Amino acid sequence: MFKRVLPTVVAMLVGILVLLGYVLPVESLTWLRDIILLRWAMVLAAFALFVAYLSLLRVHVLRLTSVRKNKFTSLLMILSALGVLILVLVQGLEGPLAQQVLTAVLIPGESALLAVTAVTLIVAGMRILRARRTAGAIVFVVVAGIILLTNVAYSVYPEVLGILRQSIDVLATAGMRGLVMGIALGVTLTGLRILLGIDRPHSDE
Amino acid sequence: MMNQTLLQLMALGVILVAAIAFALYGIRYRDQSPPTRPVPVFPGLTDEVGRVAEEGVFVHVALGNGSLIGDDAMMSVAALQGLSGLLGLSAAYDTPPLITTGDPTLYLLASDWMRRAYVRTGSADLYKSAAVQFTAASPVTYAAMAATYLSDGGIGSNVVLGAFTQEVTLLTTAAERRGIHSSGGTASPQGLGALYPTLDQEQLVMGEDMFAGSAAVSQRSSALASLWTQDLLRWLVIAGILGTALLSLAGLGGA
Repeated sequence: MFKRVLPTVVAMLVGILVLLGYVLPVESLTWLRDIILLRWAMVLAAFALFVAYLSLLRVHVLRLTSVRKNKFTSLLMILSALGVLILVLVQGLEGPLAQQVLTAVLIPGESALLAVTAVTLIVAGMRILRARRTAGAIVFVVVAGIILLTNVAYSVYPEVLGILRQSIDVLATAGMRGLVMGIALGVTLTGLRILLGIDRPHSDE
Repeated sequence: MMNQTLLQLMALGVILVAAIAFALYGIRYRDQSPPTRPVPVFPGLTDEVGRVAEEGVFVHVALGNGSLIGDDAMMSVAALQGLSGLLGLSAAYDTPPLITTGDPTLYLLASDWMRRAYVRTGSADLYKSAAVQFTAASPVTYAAMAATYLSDGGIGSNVVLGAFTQEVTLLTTAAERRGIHSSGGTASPQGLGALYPTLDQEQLVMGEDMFAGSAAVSQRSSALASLWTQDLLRWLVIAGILGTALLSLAGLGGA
């Protein structure tokens, strides 16, 4: 009863109320969704973050004591996780040192990783034709090349590249909209299965 | 600009049409397998368990950053459903995959799914909580951190399935560099753009096919009915778009 029926009933009820809050123009439903249910969800997510944080520490402590490689990464991970936690507990989120960590370490680090992502994407794109010479791969490389060219050299040849860019933009937008519509239908049906209690991702089948 | 109330009622209409079509199809094929299109990638993911078990290595499953209280919640649930065969077989062989997530709520759900897979095989005591790991809360850091796990050794297959954007390339290129076989998919255009050059087309789940995992793996009539309804609605949307365009061309309204 408590393992199967109760979670399913709660999930269905909450899901239906939140859905109705979006699709029916009733103010009390919107209030219930935004003020009560979503706030509860945020509190639960905060607890989830706490549990995940403890798990992260536990995993890296275990890695330190095992015979694996990358022990230094785990040590660094534990020290920085604990250090930032202590810093935020002492100074608060807006404290000067916590802000310093954010602006001097986290943001530059993330930016560097994003730059690496861009480079790996370019390398992967260049290698695609070596791995497979299909029509799809050729179209992918040609379109990627046109987009790069029109972005870089647009100011030099605005007339020619402008037309090329517009035609690619139209195709790209149409493709993306088609993709997003398909995803929306998938989301709707997956959600419906949960709302109707057919799928129970939160409890035993 | 369209009225907000009208938009809300249209959304309700789509949901009702979906629910009715789903119910009718489910009733029609209650006790038999309905005809649907094949989605070959998901059963292939389950086969990875046997392959890596023979080699004495593990599968790495990257579930991405789809929070259960955000826009990507259903994508994360669909990814787990598509992986249910892999999780079940891993539990049966006691070769649990290393599952990494970039969201704490998804971490809890994935842990629960893995634990329940062990419970179903009657070996709950063999479940190790370290099989599921939360690596970082930011997408790029998560992908970079999970990529370092691939260099630890012991990973024979890399499955990336869930909410990803361009950062997924860090994971797939790290796997490629070490000769680890990768498969998976995502729904976002940015993520697909990053996955397309690094995964074979037969190993890539694109867009709405992400939500076909449950049907492909479980073959339950309810999941197959859901997939059929999804396809039916897609054709209705296409017909609607074409109809609106034709009406617009004929000067009978439209944007």
